[in-house]
Amino acid sequence: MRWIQRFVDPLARGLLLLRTVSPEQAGLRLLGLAATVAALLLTMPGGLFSGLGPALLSLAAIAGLIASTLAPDSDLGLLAPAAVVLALVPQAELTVGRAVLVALCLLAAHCAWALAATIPLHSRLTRAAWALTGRAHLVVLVASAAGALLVLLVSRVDLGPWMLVPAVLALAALTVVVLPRRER
Amino acid sequence: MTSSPAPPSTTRRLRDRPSAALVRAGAVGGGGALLAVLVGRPLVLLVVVPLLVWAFVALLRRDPEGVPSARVAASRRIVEEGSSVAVDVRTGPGVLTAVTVPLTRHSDLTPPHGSLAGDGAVRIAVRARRWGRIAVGPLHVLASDPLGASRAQVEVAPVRVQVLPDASVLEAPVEVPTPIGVSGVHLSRRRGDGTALAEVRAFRPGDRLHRVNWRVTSRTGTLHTNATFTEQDTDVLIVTDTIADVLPAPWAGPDAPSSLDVTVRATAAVARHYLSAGDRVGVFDVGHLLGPVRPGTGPRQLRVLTDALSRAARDTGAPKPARRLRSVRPGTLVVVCSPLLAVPAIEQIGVLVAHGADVVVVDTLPASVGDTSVLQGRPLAVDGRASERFWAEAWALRRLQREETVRELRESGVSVTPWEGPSSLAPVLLSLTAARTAPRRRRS
Repeated sequence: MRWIQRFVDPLARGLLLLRTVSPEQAGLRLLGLAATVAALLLTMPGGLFSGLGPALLSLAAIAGLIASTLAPDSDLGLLAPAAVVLALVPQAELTVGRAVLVALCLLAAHCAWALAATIPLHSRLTRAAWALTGRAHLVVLVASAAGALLVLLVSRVDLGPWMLVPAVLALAALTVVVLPRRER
Repeated sequence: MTSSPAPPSTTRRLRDRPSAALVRAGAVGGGGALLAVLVGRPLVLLVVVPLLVWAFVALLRRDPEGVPSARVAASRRIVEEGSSVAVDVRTGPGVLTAVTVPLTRHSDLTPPHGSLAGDGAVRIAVRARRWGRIAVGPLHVLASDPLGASRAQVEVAPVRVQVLPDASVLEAPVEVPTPIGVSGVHLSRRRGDGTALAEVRAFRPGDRLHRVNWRVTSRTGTLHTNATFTEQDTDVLIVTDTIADVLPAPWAGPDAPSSLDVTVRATAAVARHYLSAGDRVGVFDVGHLLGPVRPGTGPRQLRVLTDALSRAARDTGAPKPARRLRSVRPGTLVVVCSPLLAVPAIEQIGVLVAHGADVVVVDTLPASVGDTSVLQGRPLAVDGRASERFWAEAWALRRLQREETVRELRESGVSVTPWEGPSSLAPVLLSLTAARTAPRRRRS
């Protein structure tokens, strides 16, 4: 019976640990998981393992998803959204509607993982905390909508090969903004 | 009994660092945008725009000076058993503040796992279940922006709280067998100025005129006066036996008191009872956990006593020789709180009786220890495992041996009563007072 106990005891300890996970943490991780899976399914409508390329990207995304679920602060969490973007690049049949849905799913997953990484596993959030983070995410949502409209409008402008110039300038500006600064 | 709120403690300003989420948003967003530009696919850029915007908004909101420092304050530093203390942690408005406090023994946290996140301020409540000193912390404070893009962490020193023992009101009379003081509330056998009538006798020079009994005087024709018993205070000495702290049986429950808990609570209750009657109360510890407390009176003495009791800690060091009280004033009411296991404590009771003190013994051995009702003729199961050491049986035998000690104490005139709460001592103190008027047997 002792060998059964050796197997069952760690399992029981794990289940007890699960009971200490707060509803907020459980909800955030479920949201991240569901949104990432939705983004994957929307990205590969033909199936996650329909070919070698999609299979490799799906495996990478699943690995990143597992890492994020267990440790939302993990750097491996980069794999899932990167795999989604890489899977979309060669798709000529990508529509505006599908692109918007994938974007929303990626944003929802990213926000959920970011918030889950900020608070401990068994931490509760007060109403004031929800209101604070809700207001900040609302700003992001509105600004994203504006940014998406801008992209759609600019995409209709055809400058031919000169299109590269504003594109590079925009990228350079973005890089300068996003680059980490030396702390004083 | 409370104190004013403690002044808040401050820490240096916190320097925040980008989180993995910010790096992720920048890398995926920037990389996706680059790819979209290179392959000429604006719809791919549409997919990564929200991540780029998230990173951009987070960077715009970031304060280059860092996050406001964490300030910690406790609502009270001295509480009673069963009371709560609130620990407030503040950073600044608009800062998502997550505070985590490790679980502390003999206390309950709200929220239950001691971790809460709020907008610039977080309150964690700690309810102390047992007397003593508890350290709430160290507190781990994590301050980040509302998006979780940058964060700073700091560990703040524990907040120390003193928990006073529950000095429940004793449901017992304040009479003592032999008051030995000067002026108080206890009726003595001495004649003098008082309120209780002793006799009506002939007037003597020096008697007070307002005591003249005019009814008897008019009947007898001779001046008669009322003689009264004086009212005195007394000395109460509480002798505590902290030589060993006997823990309750495992099946008694998580909040079952040990012998030290019962000793401390009984001491606090008895002290409060007699101090409120104006008597002098002191404490002498046969062990080494409670320092001696000199006799004193009034509310100040109660504060000194409960402070000394709450500072006692369970000693896990090498055993030390027991202290001995060499003498005591005859007539002192001595309340001995002891589990009656250690020989020095039992010998001390004998010394006190021999010196003429009125001794009452409060039995502090936990009721679950040596309880024979749980014995079933086979090893007891604790937490699903059968014990191989037969502790329950051993303690049952020890308790039976101890019954001999209790019987001998009772035969020598010492009352022994288990502590079962505020009403425990009432019958014993009443019997002591009744014994004062009973014919006395010479103690040889």
